[in-house]
Amino acid sequence: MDKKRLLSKISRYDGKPLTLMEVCGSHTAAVFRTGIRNILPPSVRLISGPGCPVCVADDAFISRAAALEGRARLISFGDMARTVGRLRPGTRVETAASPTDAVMRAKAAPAEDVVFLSVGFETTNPVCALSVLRAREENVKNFFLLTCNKTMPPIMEYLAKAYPDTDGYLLPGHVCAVSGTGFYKEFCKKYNVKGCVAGFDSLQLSAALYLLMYGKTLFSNVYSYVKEEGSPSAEAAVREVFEPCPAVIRGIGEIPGAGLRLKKEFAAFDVSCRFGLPEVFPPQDAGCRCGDVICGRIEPPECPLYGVSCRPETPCGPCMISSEGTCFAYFGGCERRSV
Amino acid sequence: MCVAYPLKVTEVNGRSAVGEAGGLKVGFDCGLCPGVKPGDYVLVHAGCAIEILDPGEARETLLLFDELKEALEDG
Repeated sequence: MDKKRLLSKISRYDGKPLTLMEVCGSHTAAVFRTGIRNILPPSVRLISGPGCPVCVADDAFISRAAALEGRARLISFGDMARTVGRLRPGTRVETAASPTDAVMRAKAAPAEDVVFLSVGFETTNPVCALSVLRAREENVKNFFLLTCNKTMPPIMEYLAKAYPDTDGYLLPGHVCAVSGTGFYKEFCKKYNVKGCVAGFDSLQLSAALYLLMYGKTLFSNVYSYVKEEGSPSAEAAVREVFEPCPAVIRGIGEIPGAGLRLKKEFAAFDVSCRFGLPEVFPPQDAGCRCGDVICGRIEPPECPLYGVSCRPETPCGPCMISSEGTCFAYFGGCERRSV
Repeated sequence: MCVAYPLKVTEVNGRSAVGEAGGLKVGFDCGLCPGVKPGDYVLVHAGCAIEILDPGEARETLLLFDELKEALEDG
């Protein structure tokens, strides 16, 4: 495939100025890693969106996790484990490639309570649901979820209403591989914005950016792994275990229906059932502008903490810790290669 | 965190399976994709298959439709 031809067209774009948002954290990392951000003409502004599940985890979730230190064995994905460890020193979180591994660890140590810090969007939600189904099947009674799972559609609706100046969205490929494209097609029509579902290599990114700049159709999909119907069996697992609830998004606040919580029949796996955790809402670090970074309102250097007190070695917020965080990517945490 | 990768399924034993990509063998959980069988391609995330791919998709990721074809053809 002639990627060079696409790249050359992207870099020579001279149409009306565009603001394009990459919604997914993996896209944020990819636009830096591939170097594609560097070839965009000045008239195209690429902004980051709230699609890194670790970055949008609110302080209450992180504080609740920290409150469990010493009372339970905490396990999560690498980025979440590091974020809790860095922001709440003294809290030890083990890493696991999959929450189903955490179930097996719980099964192997029945005397300990094991809590999985369950974060993710549509790509990861089925895997979290599977861990609960697995724990039930294996009769593992010492495995619990502390949920911070979210779904993209209510957040997209929020973004479109709050920031109507966005001209197009680079849509999350692996989220759509699970959820399908129905919502996004309707979304583009409803708000008269362009959207393109894409994968994460430079060919995918260049094809999507080309279509967002020059394409005539509002909605497009360049990623062959994404089917219109998504992955019905993965979606079914999510619907079996979870139900929608309000979600607090770091820097944005509460969005109705954007979260997932365990259904009543799975309450025995809910951490609050075992520990009855109090609600904790500590203040954010004074001056940290995570919320504006997460919604693409400012670039990281516009935050007064960026590069001064907030650096990869002394991060003040998850955007500087997560490997898919905008501030981390911006700081050069992603190795730059040429496209 | 939403990184997923395609594997060609080589073995299925109940809910655990083995897939192959680029000569590497990787174990994964197929509990979310019942009915998966050797020869299928799956998309794997966090150690679990989340989608069975259509044959052929796993090799070519770019979906070519008219607007994109035009861009690639007219220089």
